[in-house]
Amino acid sequence: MKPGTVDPDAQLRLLNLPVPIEVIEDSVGRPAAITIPLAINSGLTRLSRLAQQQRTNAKIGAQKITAINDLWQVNDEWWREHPVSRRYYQITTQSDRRLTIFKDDLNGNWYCQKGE
Amino acid sequence: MIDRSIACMLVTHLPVKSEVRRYTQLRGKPVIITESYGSQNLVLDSSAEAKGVTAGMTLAEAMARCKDASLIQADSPYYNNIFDKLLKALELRSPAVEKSGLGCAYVGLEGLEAMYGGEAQVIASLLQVAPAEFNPRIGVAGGKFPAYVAAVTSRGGRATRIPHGSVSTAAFLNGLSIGLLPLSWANKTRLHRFGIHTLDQLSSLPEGTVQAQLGTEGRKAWLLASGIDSSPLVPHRMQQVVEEHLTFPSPTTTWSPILTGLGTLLGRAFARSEISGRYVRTASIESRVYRRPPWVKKFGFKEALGNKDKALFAMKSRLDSVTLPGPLEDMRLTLTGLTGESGIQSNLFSDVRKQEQLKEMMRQLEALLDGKPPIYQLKEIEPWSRIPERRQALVPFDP
Repeated sequence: MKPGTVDPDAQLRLLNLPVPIEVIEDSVGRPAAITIPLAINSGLTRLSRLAQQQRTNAKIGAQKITAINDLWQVNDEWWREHPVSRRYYQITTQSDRRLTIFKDDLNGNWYCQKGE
Repeated sequence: MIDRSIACMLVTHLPVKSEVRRYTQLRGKPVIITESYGSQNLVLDSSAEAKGVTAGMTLAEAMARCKDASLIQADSPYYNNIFDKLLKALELRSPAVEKSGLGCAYVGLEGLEAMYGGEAQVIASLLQVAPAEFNPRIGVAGGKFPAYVAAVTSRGGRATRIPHGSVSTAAFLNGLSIGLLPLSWANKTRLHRFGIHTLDQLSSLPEGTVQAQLGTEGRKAWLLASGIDSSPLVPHRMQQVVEEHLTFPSPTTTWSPILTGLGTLLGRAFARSEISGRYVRTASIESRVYRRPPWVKKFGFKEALGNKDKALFAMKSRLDSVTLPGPLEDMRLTLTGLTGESGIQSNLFSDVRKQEQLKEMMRQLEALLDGKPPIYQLKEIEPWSRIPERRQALVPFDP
């Protein structure tokens, strides 16, 4: 291995990384419907989920959000090059699933995240 | 030499006497008790009425000599139980009681004479320990072997005393058979071939000559034949026992009623006041089997158990692999090893051992996969972070 390079085996593999999703917002910017990758919906592990996403890029249809159970704002690491500013929602979908999603205030994209 | 006084209480033909006590219709009839040794059926004991039958004879030969005899399968747990009761009764009279085979016990008499008002009263008290039908005989001497010989030469219900001292003991042993010595059958046969049939013939030989021929066993036999026995009296250690018994409505081979019965017996035993607040280390179950020898199963628990459910679980799991010898007629549960404490001895170096096992496992996986195995360990990175992906990470596992 060349000096200065990192052994991929020695790297940390972060858990609970955000997964991009599509969200339809209502008039005031709150999530109204959600389209999530099939792999998340089927409860696969992260590795097999990524593999399946690459193979099929499959998604289930939009699901209506029936309730927003909780919401909170996270503003952190503002002193770094890439600060964090997210608005989290804990939602219930029409199929009665509870998910934690957030909108990245910096790029406007929506993500689904576990571990909250 | 220490001046000791030892009594030997001998109950001859204890198995037959126990069976007659249990089945009184056998009284005065020829009885043969048999025991199986592999494929052979041998005579364990026989009543006086079974003429020509001796212990160790094959059953076929015994039946040829005494056709009318009643045959009984040996019930060793029952005989041991009866003899243990006799030992318990002896221990109420003397603190030093040694069990020496079925039907033979040695009792230390030191200090008892003053308590009972003389040696004769002590002996009379010992004779009363056993029920009349056991007809015990007692020998008193300065050592265990002469006391045993004195008991053998006594009549039932009577006692014989050998005056203390090796000379008087040797004089008493004169003319008695070497068959009384604790020698192997092969060595006894050798002595007979040499023309040595009695104890005095043996003691008249030089000690070294006997030892040269028969080894240490021969030297011990020479000393005993000379009236010298300094072997100590080792008191029998009686342990507290809790027993419960039940009889099945009909002989059974199915586990369901047997386990139900076992649960009932355990429930009764753990409800007893002797066991209250205490723990049990060992258990055994004994059952009479229809037309078969009794069945005995012993259980040693890894940790002392303090209630019925735990004991039943432990015993059930061991019985899973057991094949019953036949239909069980009854069941006797015996709990022993009663203790006031329960605990498990843990390993001080269990972490080290676990680490070694993990290293070995990783080595094997590397060899199998021809590379580093994809095994990771979960690590806390910033568990306090408000950002979920910052909290934990997987790192390559390296024990």
